[in-house]
Amino acid sequence: MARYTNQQIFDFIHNGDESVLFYLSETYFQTGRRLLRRSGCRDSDTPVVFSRVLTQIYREIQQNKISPNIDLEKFIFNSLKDYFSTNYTSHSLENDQKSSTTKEDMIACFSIMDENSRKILALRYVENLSFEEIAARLNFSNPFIAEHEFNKAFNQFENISRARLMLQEES
Amino acid sequence: MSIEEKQLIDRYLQNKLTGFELKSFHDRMETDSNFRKKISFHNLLIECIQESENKRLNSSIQNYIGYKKPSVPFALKLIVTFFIVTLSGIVLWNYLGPSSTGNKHNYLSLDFLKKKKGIESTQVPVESKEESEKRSNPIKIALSKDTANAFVEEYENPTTDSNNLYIENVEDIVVKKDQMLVSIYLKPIAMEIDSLGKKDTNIAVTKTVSDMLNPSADLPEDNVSKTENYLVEFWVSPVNYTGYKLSENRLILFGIEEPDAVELYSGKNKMWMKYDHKFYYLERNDQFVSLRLSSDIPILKR
Repeated sequence: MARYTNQQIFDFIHNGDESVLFYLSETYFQTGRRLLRRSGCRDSDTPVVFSRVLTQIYREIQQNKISPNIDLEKFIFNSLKDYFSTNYTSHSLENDQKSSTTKEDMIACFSIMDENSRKILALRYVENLSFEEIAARLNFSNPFIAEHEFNKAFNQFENISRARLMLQEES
Repeated sequence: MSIEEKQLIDRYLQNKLTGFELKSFHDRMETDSNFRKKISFHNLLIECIQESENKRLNSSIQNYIGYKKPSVPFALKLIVTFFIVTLSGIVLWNYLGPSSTGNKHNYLSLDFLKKKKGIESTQVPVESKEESEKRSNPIKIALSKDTANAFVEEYENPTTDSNNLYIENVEDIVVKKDQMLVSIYLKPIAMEIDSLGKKDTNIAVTKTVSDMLNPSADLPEDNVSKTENYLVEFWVSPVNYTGYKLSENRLILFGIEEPDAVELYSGKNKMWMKYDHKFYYLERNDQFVSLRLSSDIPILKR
């Protein structure tokens, strides 16, 4: 497997290439797993903790919260330690997985939407991209089309969620 | 909810509202409860989108890692590894170690453990003087390790002295074995002069011819006399056994105290041994037999 520099990894993430997460997993998971085990984490919980930390770092890099000059390896391992010491108990992990019913329903609603709608909503609200950037990423001819598509997708999601919540209240 | 309202709420949630715009937004939130609900719902929708995307990424990472809980516990693996290493160590020790018996079919024997037990079990308790003096039937014990004469000492009747010796040496029980004193080559003296004389003449003629044909070859001479020599071994037995075994060119003698006084005589397919002015008849045999005096002595002439 090719070894990427920090700058290359940051570029991949900024371009929305998620395959770099698999590279990071392959490179740092085994060491991270040993580190977590030494800290007292159960072996079966290490993938959960590692994936959450990696996703968190991925989002922070996307939103330009992390400088590309940091030592990424140390940053990942320190984040694992911090996450484990602050958030981890096996009980808390289970609770995290069972969030509130309303939220669960709305997430289910989001997952049944078509892929393009989900993608454009995610670009807007997860990666915090402007409509110009969304248009460039999704190959729209101009940002107005991107805005239009975004509004359409958001209205669809809102309507589905409202309908779902009304059904839940009625039942 | 209109598009403008959504954009305004988005900007508020992203902390992009400032000054008059932010103040008027706060005022509206305080007065309009319906607007507050809209903001709350909008925020919930955004959170769901973010959480859903994070979950998707988490699951894809976990699938890529492909971690499975091991079916065999780690501690059990350690225990099994320990046993395998120990077992292979025992096998290697029995095969290559200094106490190896060379018995290749016995790799897994725990001899080095058994030896310790054996040593412990063979410890002889020290008896007190009084107890030993009460013994009515003392046992003969060979006392000396160094000299072979000790083996040929005759059995002495039990006395008080021997009891004392037994007491002194009760801790050092030595199992005596047969021991060889000396081995020498002896040439039997031929008794039938005429026949042996002819034989010698023939040998001499053959030697002269070979010397004439190839004088400088320096070939090893066929030592006829050497083949007639007998290797005589003098042994002593702790039970004072007296006997012999005669095989081809080898004579083993037990119970002979003076090896220098032994002479061998040979005749036609017969052998005699002279020792202490007595002639003993020797017969080829695979087993040890006791010495018997020869009745043919008057016939023998040198």
